[in-house]
Amino acid sequence: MLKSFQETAKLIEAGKVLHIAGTEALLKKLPKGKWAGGSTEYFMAKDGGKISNELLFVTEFPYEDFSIKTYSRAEIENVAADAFDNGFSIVIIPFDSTVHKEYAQKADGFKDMFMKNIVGWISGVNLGIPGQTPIAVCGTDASAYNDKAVVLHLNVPSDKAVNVNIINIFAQDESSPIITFAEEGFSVAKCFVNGKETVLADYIAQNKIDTKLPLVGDYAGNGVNISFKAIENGVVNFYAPVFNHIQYRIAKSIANYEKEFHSKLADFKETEAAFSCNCILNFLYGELEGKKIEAFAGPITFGEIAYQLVNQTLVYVTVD
Amino acid sequence: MSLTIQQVEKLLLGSHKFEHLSFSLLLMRKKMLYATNTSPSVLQECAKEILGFLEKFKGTMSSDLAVLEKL
Repeated sequence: MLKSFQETAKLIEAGKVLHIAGTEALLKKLPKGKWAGGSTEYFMAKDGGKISNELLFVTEFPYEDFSIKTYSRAEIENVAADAFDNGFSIVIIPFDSTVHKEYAQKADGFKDMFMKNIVGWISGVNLGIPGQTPIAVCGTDASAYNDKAVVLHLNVPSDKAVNVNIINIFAQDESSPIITFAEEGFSVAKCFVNGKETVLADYIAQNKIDTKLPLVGDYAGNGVNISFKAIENGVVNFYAPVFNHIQYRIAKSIANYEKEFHSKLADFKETEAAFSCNCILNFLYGELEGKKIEAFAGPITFGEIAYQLVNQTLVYVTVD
Repeated sequence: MSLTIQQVEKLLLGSHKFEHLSFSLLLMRKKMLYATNTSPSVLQECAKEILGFLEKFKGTMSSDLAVLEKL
């Protein structure tokens, strides 16, 4: 939940195991302790979406067996191998760092990736304030990184079951064509629209595609979103990479974000998430400031991790 | 839950739909690997990982198990 700097510092000093989200400036002032953190000023609190540079979103875990590790670009491939067998790991990666790109492009091939429970988020900045740096912080020595991931690995008692899942308010628009890619990555020029080679930027312009809607990749029944970032000089930039073995379609349009979230969340009223995060694009496009997304409080992030990087998605963990 | 090597190959070449997120993600990874190299050793490797996954997570897969049983 949202806490003041003093309340957060007290919890750290009391020896609690914590995940903390807040501004770069606040995180850098916190005392050393059993915590991992990342930068954002956007939060989904119990009473609604909030932007704050004075409060921190603090999640306390009752697990005594844990580790907090940092990972460079070269080391991030070990993240799942290092995770506990019956536990979960919260990965925090600074936006636009080399480790962000490495994770985004290769996570599905990392050792043990799908045999462990891996969640996390991409840290960011206040979009209206220049000069900030996205960071991840290792609380054990209070070191802040803009080029390394910080991971809180938690071991959960063996009589408990961990489940990682997503809530995706988007689905493929089945009436739109299948889009595939020969090139992979965060930026592409060309794609195939129903098999025909096409300049993606032209296709978007000619068909008046709303780029607030993501591409939705079909992963054997689960939709994984790729959000549009910008179109520059005929190149389409995304917030996550596209892959050449995935079939994408543009998402079905949504009339009312808040309503759509609540409709999706109706099935989750009894869910108690041990951790959750939601996307900055859902927050901005859905104008969620001041609006409640029941049951799922947490940081609003610049990319979400449910094993691999996803966009415009709510990610959560339950421990039952 | 156990699958024969023939059932795993059917899974890798088919277009089955699943609800379980990490199983879907794992399966897409393995489908991609097998599509680029259909050798018996790759198939064995894919089978080992898929069966290892099912062994560990079958308790959370509920309705997806029915899809696998029909392979």
